[in-house]
Amino acid sequence: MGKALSTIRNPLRNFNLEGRAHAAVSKNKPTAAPKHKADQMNYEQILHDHPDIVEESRKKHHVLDKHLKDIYVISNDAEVIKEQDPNKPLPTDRKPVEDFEYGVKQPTIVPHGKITLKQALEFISQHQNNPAVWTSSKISDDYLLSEEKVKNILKYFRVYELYVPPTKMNATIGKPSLPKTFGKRVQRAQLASGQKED
Amino acid sequence: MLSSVRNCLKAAHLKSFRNFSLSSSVNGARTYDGEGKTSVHILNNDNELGLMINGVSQVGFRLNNNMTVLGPMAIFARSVLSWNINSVDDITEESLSLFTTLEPKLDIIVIGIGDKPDNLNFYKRLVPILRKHRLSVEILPTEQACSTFNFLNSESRHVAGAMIPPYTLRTTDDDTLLSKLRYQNLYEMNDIKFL
Repeated sequence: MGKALSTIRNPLRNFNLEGRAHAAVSKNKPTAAPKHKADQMNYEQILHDHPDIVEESRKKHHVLDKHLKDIYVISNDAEVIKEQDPNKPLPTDRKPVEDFEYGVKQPTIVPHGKITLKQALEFISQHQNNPAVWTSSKISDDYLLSEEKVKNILKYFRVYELYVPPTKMNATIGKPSLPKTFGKRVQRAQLASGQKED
Repeated sequence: MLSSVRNCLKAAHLKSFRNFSLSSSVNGARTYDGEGKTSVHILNNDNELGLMINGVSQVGFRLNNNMTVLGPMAIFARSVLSWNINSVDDITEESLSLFTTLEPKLDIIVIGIGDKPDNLNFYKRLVPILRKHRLSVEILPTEQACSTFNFLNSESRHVAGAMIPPYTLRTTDDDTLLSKLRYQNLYEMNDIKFL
């Protein structure tokens, strides 16, 4: 609707638009847009009051220009010094962290009355292999556990014994074939009666 | 151990067993990579994720390292122990002794109580024990407990499973076929004789 109305108001706005655009673009120096009325008045006032300053500002100062050309600046990045704690060295290895043997990290310090899974597996299998040596009292002394707890663990938890079943053999393929015998077929009845072949 | 296995064997009719390895992983899931391209990642086939339960039957469990374990078991992230109990009634403070003494403390224990229970009376007995040792626990029928354990283990949580083999199993034809294939008697008419 807006476009239709504006077309009615200025019917010739787009007349020869491209030609006018080309003419504007191909100009060597673009014509400056006219100043605002207030700015224009200010400018004329200054030009009227201090014509010498305006004249000065339009001149080229050779000395200042040379100074500008002589100066150059070199900048370097500031050196950042990171202090490393020798007791806590930062990691240098970027390889992915390997999994722990028992799924979680086994602690080095174990409180009294507790055991790590590794220790538990160790003493359960030792007890099973040699119950005379690894008695519950010895285990409770070694691992700082109460003897009752050790007895319970040994009673309810055991390590497995591995049994590997014999591999299945397919009889028709696996059997060696019998040596072939060559001969005539003889009927059983004939042999029994003692007849000889001719 | 022996007694419990024998009891299980006595009761077992050994038709087939339940397989678990058909679940897809959250860990290995990639971002969307184009139309028509999807990838399936089988949790139990990933050895880096630790020990998992591939199948359960009335006599025991099959793990993802191709081992078959007989009787109730205590399974950890990368190790497995036999658990010398018979039924839910044997789960006491004494039979949970290993779980309560472990350092670092377990994040969660998944207890598979075998079949779906008729009543929940055993909770009354278990809850005070677990509360005393500040253990978090998930008590489920064994079939569900196995897959719960697998997922928790794949998320590298410090998890332990205490599983009792169930007496009744929901098996599908696929389970039967897979177990027959495994024991190479696909064309024999008789049922599977062993796990």
